[in-house]
This record gives sequence, C-alpha cells and structure tokens, in this order.
Amino acid sequence: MYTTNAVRKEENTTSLEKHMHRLEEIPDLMCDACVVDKYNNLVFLSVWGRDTALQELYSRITLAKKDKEFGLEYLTFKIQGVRTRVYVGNVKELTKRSTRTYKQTKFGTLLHTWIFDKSCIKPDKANHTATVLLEGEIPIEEFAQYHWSVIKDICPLPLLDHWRSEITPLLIDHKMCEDLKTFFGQVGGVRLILDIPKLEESMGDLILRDRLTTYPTHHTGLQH
Amino acid sequence: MALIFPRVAANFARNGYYPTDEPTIERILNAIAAKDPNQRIRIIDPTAGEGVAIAEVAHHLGRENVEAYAVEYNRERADHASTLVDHCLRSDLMDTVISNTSFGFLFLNPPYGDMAPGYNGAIYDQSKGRKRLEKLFYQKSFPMLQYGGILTFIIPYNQLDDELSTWLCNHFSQLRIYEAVDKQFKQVVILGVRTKKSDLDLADRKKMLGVFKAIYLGEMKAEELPQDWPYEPYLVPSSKAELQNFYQITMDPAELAREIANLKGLWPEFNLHMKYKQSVPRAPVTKPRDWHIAMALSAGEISGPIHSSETGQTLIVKGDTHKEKVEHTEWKTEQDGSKTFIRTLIDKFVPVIKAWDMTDGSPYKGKIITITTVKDPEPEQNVNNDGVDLSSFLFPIGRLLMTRGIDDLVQQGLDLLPYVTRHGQGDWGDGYESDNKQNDRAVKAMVDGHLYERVMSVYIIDPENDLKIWIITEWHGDDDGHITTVLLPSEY
Repeated sequence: MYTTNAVRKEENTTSLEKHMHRLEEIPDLMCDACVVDKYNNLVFLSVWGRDTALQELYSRITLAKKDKEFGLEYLTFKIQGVRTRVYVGNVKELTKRSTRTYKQTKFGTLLHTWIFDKSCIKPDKANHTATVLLEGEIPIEEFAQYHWSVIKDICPLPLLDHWRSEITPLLIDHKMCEDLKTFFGQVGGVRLILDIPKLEESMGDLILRDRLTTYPTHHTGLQH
Repeated sequence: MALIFPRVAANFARNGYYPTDEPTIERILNAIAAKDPNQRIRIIDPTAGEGVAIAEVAHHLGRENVEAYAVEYNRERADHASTLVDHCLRSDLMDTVISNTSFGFLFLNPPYGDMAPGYNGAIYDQSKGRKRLEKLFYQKSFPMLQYGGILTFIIPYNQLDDELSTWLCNHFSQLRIYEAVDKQFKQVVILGVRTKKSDLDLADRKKMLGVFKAIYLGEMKAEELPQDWPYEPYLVPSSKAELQNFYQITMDPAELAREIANLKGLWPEFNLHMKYKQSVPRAPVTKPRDWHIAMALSAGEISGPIHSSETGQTLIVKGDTHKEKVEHTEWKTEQDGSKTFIRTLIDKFVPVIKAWDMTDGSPYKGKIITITTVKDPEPEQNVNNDGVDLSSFLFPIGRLLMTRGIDDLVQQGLDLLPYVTRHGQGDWGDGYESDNKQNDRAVKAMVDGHLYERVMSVYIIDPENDLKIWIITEWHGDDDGHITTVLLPSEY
C-alpha cells in the first residue's frame, strides 16, 4: 500500500522521546526528521540548533558547489550506524520555516527550523507535480483522502471522487506517485508527478470499458 | 528535614564521587539563613552528584522562594538531581555557560585529584601551582556568586595550598574553616562571603592566610563543624536580576530530545504549515445564473457531471484558468538606419474547460473535449527593454509598462523608444521647469542605485491635438524594483 511510508512509526523510539541525529558537517545541529526522494535528495529536514549554527547551515548549502571549501552539496547523518548522505539538490527550490528563539534552554538559545522543498506547500499546477507530507501516525483513510484532494488539485482532467479506487493504482503503475524515503523522524510522504497524456489515455480506456462511470453505481449514468 | 537520602547517597560513594555526608550538610544548614525570606534566592551546586545537598539547602532557605540549579556529569546522578532541583544540566562543568554574579549561594564540593595532562577543561585552568581538579572547579565556579553571596567549599585540608588559600582570601571575607563531621576524606568546610577586593579587611585576610597555612601544614587542626551554630548565620542574599545564561555548549542528543519534548518547536503546527490550503466548496447563497456558472466553472470552482436533455450528452467538466504570455515582436528602424528588436509580452488569462464525454454510443466517449477561448489583452502590458541603450541612463528604468491608451497609440505607429530614452537620459521634455528641477534633485539624491523620489517627464506628441504622454519612474521596493509607466495624462 502506497501510504505505509507516511504512517510508519520510527523504529527504536519511545513515543515520548525523539531520536536525534547529529549533522556531521555542523555538529552543533541536531535533526529529528529527514525525508528524501528516491535519489536521496532533500525533501524535508527538521533541525534544532543555535542561530549561529543554523545560519552556517543555510549559507553552506546555498554555496554548495560554488565554494569548494565551505559549500555543502550533501549532509551526512549516521543512521543506525551507517553513514548516510542527503543531497541538497536544487537549493533554489528549498524554503524554510523557523520558530522564534527559545531562550534559556539547557543549550542556551535554540531555534527549530524546517528546511523543505517548495513543492511541499505549493503544488505546481503548470507541471502537475506536488509533494504530500504528513506527520505522525495518520489513519490510512485520512491520508488517502488528502492525497486524493491534492491529485484533483493538480490534475487538469475532470475527476470524480468515486473514481479514486481506480485512479490511484493507475498512478502507481505508471510511476506518477512515488513514496518518499523517511530516513528518520515521524514525517513521511509521496511525490506526485502526473503525466497528463498518459493519464488521459488510460482514463479514456477505463471510461470506454465502463470502469469509470458518471455515478458510483454501475448503471450507465445516462438519464435521458 | 524533608529530603534525606543518606543511604542512597552512601551507595554512590565510589569512583571519585564523594557526596557530602549528611551530618555535615545538616550543620552547614544551621550556619546559613535567607537574608530576605520572601524574595527569590538563586542557589547552585556545580558538582551536584545526586543533588541532595543543594536540595536540602533549598528547603532550608524556603523552597518556594528558591531556584535551585545543578550541574552533574554522571548521567544517572544527573537524572536523580533533576528530580530535586529546578534546573539541572547533565554536562561537564567546563562545557557550560553560566552567568557570573548571579547566585546567592554556591555549594562547591568538587572532584579532587591531579589533573591529567591535556584535560579538556584545562583552558579554564588559571593555576600556576599544582594542577588540581578542585582548583579548576573553584576557578570556574566562584565567579557565579554575586557579591555578598555565600560560599560553602568542601575540600581535603591537605589540598589547601598557598595558591588556593590566597584565592580564597582574595575573593571572600568572613571566612571560617571547620572539619567535616565524617573524617574519612579529611575534608574541611570553608564558609565565606564573596567580597570585592577593595572591601576586604587586610588584617582579617592576613590572619586567615595564616590559619589556612597552619591547617594545610598540619600544625593546627580545624575544629569540627559545630552542631549548634554559635554565631549570626551567614545570610544568603536574594537574586534580583534575571539569570542570563545557564546552558551547556555541546549538544547532547538525549538531553536535547528531552528538551524538545517540552519545547515542541514547529511540530504542533505541522498541518498548518505543510498542508495545502484547500478551499472547501460551499453552496451558493442564491441560485446561480448562467454567468455565475460560467465564471465559477472557468475559475475551477465547480466541476462534475452535466447532462444535456437536448443532445442527450453526458459530460464531466472541469475548468481552470491560467495565465499565458503572448509574445509580440517587431523590428524598428532608427533614424540612423540601425535596427532594434522589440519584444512585447502581453499577459493573457486563458480559461480552459475540459470535459470527458461519457455519452454511451458517442464516438467521443472516453475522449477529452477541450473548450477554450482567449480574452482581450490586459490593459497593462509588459514591454521588454531589449532595444534600449541602458548605459546612457541616469537611473534604472526597470520594468516598462504602458497603459491601454498608449498601447492604442503604439498600434497606430507611435514609437515610444525615443521618449523613453530621453526620459532615461534626463531630458525631461516639455513639463514645468519646477518639475524638471525636482527630477534633477531626485536623480542626484539616488542612494544604492535607486530612486527615493519619483521622476516624471512630459512629452508633447502632437501640439495641434494637445496630445501629450507622461513617463513616470518610481522605486517600488526591493521586490518590484523600478517601474516606468508610460501613460496619457487622462489616464493618471
């Protein structure tokens, strides 16, 4: 089932305590969630640290290839004993959200920041792509419902709600819906990349075979 | 005494960990009292162990008014201490940042021993004599006391060498030294009041140095800490200023995870930040007319099956409108015979309605029917400035816009380029002299390459018909930059 990633619970974690992963390149930063695409490109990263260390992260991933000494093209985490690289990819497509500064924590002043691909919050209707992220343990039906509403949003072809059970497997078969990898943390998701000509062809075929009908029941839908 | 864990404490007495014995703590408590009983007092034990000693001090001084702070390196002990005090860091003391002169009471029972070469806290070591851990901890801790704050310092008497004695006598007045009740570790308890050097009584200082030296050399024995304190108690002052810093430098994953469990960060707002904002369809307040339906359909607000009783067709429709740029290019021949290429991009909103033909028997069943149209051009057009020589311009003209009226004139053959060029070069045309002077001032007053005041030119195109055009350039902030608009006076 394509939703498993989003609802999977992180292993080796008690429900109260998150497992923190130190960023090897900037050890003063700790991460509690990381999601990547199939090429290990960064989709979502949740970082805690002091302002100075976070500024260092922003600037170093922005420099990336441009600065051989300080630029970071990838971030390294040790995940269950294995060194794992997360590639920054196209830094221009990344954006961030930050909390206010938490003062007087056990580590001084701390900030919490999410760095993520813009497609997570802004579906690209022109290119029919979107990234759907969910946090925590979401019931599969709730996920599927949300996922479907995003598909309807980015698909220029008319879609009816009762077509969902026919269309979603179609997207998976044609690789228009890919699971994202959760390296750690309680965030998961899928990336949607709709191929409209292919979808139009497949759906037309389903309509001709009366698998997609005007009404949920199996009559023809013709009223007059 | 509400918090006594003598047996627990005794179990921990190993591996260089020497908790202060219970009778000694009890007798220390007899020697101290709160100066202002109803005011906040801040106390600290930078080598807290299980936190028993500092917790008892907190109780003694009036628990509700006391903020107790502790630092402990051992994780299990720190876990225990954190249940007894208000703020506990599990950290090497040398890896902490704690504000100076912020605590009214300091309980210091440091680890004892020679420092290993290369000990990582050695950057704080100011000792010129024997490198001892207790000296390092003393140097790191005593500045935390506010002036008038009370020190309780416990060390083996044979470590009270000249250097440590001198430090104590330079930083504290009203010093007293006693033997701890438990004789096992040859400990002495030193009490004192942190005092500015200028306020020290030199005679007292000299006397105490002598006492410390005699005890260190074994010539004299400190008397046991008295069961009934015979003097006025040491008064622990209240702490009025806020504590600025109390944190550890190195990030510890497990400790941070606990801290995050309290802070939570952005997590509670995940859906708010990361879910697409989707509008929930609402029923219209009134029966929609045809044009309502057309608008809503082309805006993508309504979709679904429709039936035509006339043709017998069933369609499933969905509408959407997107913006397209329509390109318009032309070559212009200048007076000197050179040619410039002008590319004009016009925004067009294009509604597209797509429909599945669901009609049984229809040759188009399962095919998409697309209905689209092209609206009139928008009144404002983007003009690309490819054909303009920008280097001679006095200010950036930025994006060039023209109004509908100007567009009509351009369609009739008006060439804007010479006017825009004159405008950019500071030839303000046929406007009032005072306006032109104002323009000159605005150009002179440019900072960081942008205008703070707008500049405006007026050009007479056709004197007979009183046809004039205005060209206005304005700075619209960092995002939009400069915008130059060509317009008719009547369109202002």
